[in-house]
Amino acid sequence: MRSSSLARREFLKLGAGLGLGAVFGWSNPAFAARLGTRATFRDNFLPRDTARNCVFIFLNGAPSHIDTFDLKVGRWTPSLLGVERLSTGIDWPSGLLPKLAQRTKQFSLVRSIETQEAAHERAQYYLETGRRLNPGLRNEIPNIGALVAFDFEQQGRRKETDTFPGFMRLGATQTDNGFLAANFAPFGENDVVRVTPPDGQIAFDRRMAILQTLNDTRSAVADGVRQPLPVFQEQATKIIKDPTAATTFAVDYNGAEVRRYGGGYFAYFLVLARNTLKANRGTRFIEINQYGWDHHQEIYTNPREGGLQQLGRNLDTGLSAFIDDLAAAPGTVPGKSLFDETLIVVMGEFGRTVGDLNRLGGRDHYPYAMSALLAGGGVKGGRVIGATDDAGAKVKDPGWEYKRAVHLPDIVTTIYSALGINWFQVLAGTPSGRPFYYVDPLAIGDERSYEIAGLF
Amino acid sequence: MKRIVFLCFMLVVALGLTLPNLISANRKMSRPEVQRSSRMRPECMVEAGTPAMRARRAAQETRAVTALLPEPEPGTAPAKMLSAKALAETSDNLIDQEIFAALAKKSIQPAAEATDEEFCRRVYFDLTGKQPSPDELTAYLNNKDAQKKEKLVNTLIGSPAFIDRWTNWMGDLLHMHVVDGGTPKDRNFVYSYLRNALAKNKPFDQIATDFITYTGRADQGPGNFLRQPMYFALAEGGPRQDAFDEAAAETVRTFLGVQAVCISCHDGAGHLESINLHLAESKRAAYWGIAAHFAQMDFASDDNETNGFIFISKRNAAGKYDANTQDGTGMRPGRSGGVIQPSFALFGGTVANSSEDPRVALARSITKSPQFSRAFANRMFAYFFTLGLVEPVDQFDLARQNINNPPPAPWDLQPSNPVLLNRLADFFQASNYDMAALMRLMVLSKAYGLSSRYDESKWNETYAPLYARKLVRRLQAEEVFDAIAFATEVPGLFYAFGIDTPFTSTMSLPGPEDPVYLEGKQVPRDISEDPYSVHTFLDLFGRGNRNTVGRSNRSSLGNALQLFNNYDTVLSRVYPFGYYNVQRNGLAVQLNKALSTRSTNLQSAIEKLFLKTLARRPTAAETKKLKIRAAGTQFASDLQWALLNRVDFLYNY
Repeated sequence: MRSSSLARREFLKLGAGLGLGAVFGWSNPAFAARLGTRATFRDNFLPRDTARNCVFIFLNGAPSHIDTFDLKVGRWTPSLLGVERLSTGIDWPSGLLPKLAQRTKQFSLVRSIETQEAAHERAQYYLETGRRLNPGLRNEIPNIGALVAFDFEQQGRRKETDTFPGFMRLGATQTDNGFLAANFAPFGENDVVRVTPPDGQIAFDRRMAILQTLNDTRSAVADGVRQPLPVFQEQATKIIKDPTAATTFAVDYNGAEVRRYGGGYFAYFLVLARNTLKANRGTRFIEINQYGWDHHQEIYTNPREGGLQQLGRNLDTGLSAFIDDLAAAPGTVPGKSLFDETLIVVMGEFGRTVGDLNRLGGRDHYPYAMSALLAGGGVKGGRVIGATDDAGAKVKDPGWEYKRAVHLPDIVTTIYSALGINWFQVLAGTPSGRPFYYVDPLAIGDERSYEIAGLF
Repeated sequence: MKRIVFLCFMLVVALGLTLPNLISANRKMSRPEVQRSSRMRPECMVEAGTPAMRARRAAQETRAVTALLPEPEPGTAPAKMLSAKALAETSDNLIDQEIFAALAKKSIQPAAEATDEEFCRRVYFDLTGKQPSPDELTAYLNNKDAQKKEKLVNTLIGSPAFIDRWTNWMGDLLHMHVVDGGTPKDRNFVYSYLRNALAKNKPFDQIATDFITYTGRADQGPGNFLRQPMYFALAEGGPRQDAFDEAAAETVRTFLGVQAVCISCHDGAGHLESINLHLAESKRAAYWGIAAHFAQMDFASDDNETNGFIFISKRNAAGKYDANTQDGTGMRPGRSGGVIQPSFALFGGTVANSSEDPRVALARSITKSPQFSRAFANRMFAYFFTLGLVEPVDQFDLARQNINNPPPAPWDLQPSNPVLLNRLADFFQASNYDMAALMRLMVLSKAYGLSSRYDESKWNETYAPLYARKLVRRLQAEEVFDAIAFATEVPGLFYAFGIDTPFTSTMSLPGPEDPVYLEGKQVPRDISEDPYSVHTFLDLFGRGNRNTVGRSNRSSLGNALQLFNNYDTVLSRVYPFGYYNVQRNGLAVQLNKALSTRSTNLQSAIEKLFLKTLARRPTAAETKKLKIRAAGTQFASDLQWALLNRVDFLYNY
């Protein structure tokens, strides 16, 4: 956590001369005018710095918001949803998500989000990067996880003992580290299974000694003084030889822990993520995918794997166990738990159509209203930011001081702020030559992005 | 050895503090300066950055790799160091003339020539995607013919492995993958087309024309190329104009090396002044002129396939590009301006003649344009020399190419060696777009044949984009896998989507969907492995999907972990572990046995493993060290594992 004097220095730097418009020769009068009133931005400039990790659970396919986080009851509501008003005043589908209902004091909801994309590929890209897909820049834009890992590294917040990569990704994403160095490439479920030598450490050491012998290019073999391996081999070796790595990543897919989390790949991912965070070896951003929420048909009645009930049950069991385990684990600061230091964000890429079901018994893509669940990392539980109208069709009350709905760059800003990352930073050195903004100032017209302070 | 100095990362914080001279919004646009961050760490490299950074990174990787190469045998005569001036003047190869002239001008000493051994392995990989066998290497080394380089190159070009390799390379360029919703038949047609074209050395302009102009079923002609960008647009539920815009974007990027898609949404002015001068001065309407060439394309699909549908393109002579769409429909801002005539004005051309299929006119405009030749020559140069003369290869700025009309300060000409790029483009055009001739020119140049080693005490960062030494490249995913399979003598068998007969190398596979499980076709475990495992391995080494995820040859932590601990691909080939309870009996396992029964000796086993795995002989020092270290019943396996984890395995140096 950074000192307040540093934060003040940051503020002074940020306050002076915002020449953004000039840099791009773009003199939009509205933009220039807004930049002039610096005083109003004061509070929003300082990263909140309440978390050191972020877990982003991506409900891939986009869940129906009115059946989950923004419950709306109507003639379509099946009994399986189990409508309940929780002690925190939140209307909740306790039939679908019973365990989370019991933990209502630990999470908050944002119900006033809208997005500008309604097609999966583009909308998911938007969620992964906080910016709209520009095919010309596709190769260079990094996932926000890679940027987080990068920022921690270059701010000196990565320690000697941090052997694991900063960005972990479980399940697939469209984006990786983009133009950032390969150190910030995602580390995934196919990599963690390669950490433990299948025939044991002794065998690994034995063959590594041969490699070291060959890599020592001086003519005299001097024991104990060796050439470093190429950088990534060094990193890999450090992880392999780190005693916590074996226990962190050796998760039995069919074992008791995964079963406690609900069984299946999503539970496996959550257990891996929990272990990785507890190991405290430098992984700061973990993206976890749960697939199958794209319920265009039979949303309530699909009895097979992947229906709302099944996915809801998996999410409910897994996320609850995850919150419990993180809350029970100590943080790095006395008095704080790992849950206190980990911001959890759970959301999909857009909402789904409201009211009566479509003719296939499902709901279709809907960008005008969607919700997110946030917990930990400084988020105060039991709050609801914003509200949609009675049908859940559009944002009625944005829930914050800015007179517009919450947009995805605001979610990204909130994440960076919680992690103590200065989200106004701009990086040079992209292949296209365009400066790279941590938060794209042009994602939605010339709209500025803000953190959702009401969560904290 | 000297420590390697890593690139310092450059950070711009968007503040007036660092850019005091840019506060005024009315000031003429200049390139934003970059400010060094106060906290620079070696790890914070930006890998795929600006051209200068890419050059520095390539040089750093080269230094890191060559630092680990074995020292030359004591007693070997040091390689002759020729002066750049002498090399420029005595070579009749235009690449040598220009590269060495540029070096001579700065009094930079070029590296020595690569050894025969190094050259042989290098050119085999670059031309055929696989290393020379021990016999092939030995034959080359023992050959006393002064023309042996030329003869080797002529043998390799057109060989079966060459065709595999270059079909793969062209497949990356030309969308050889199963398009969304499509059937593998379309992709597999492209595969057979390209193999055929390479076998006949079909001129590249004819290939380009075929891909741009094809009309008909995509399983009977190269319709796949345009299918993907158009599908991407239409899947968003947008107007047809989006599809034409996307087709234009992909066509222009692929064949002219220009990333013009930016101005398909807005004029360049106010957006691109610090990125691309030509596009900054260009209008959206000019882009529509290009896109309008596609407006007579109608598309349909044959839904009778079991695996997706076949794309069918037809010509609708009445089709027009009507710049008349609303904001909010499709992927792009609203358009206005009425019907747009197909025009090549964006690239210095004219309105198309309305009597012919506009795509035919477009193909002709493109292939006749000097930029067509430049772009391809640059792509090929970037491949053989690791760094293009323009980097990235699809970011050409047409306002910064003309030596006789250079751009205004602070811009400079874009190519790092403008004269060389011009001469390469002229050569390619004059040869009638002969790809084999271009390859020959490149691999037979002395510049290509330089060593990647350099006296590091004399090396300077500024030498990086000047090719004073050969720059290394990591082997691509298919090369890595196939080399492991070859070295261990557990070769592999792979099935491709929609093709009944199996393939024997991953390089020869048609697409990124491969290998697949085919109903009823099990790969034999003793010689191959689970298709999913192969697929994952190739993806983790950056194969990409030829569509949304480009190929990446950057080495990474993931690479290191795979080569260390991957059971299916590496360990079960190298050790006597079972694979699904089947013994694989690879080379190292056989050598373990032979060593224990004394039917071979250490010297022989070591040599065999080096030749098979690294395509070179061990040095005396290496052999000596290894003999001292040799212990246990698994020594040959341990050694082969170590060799597979050496830089001189993973890189082409």
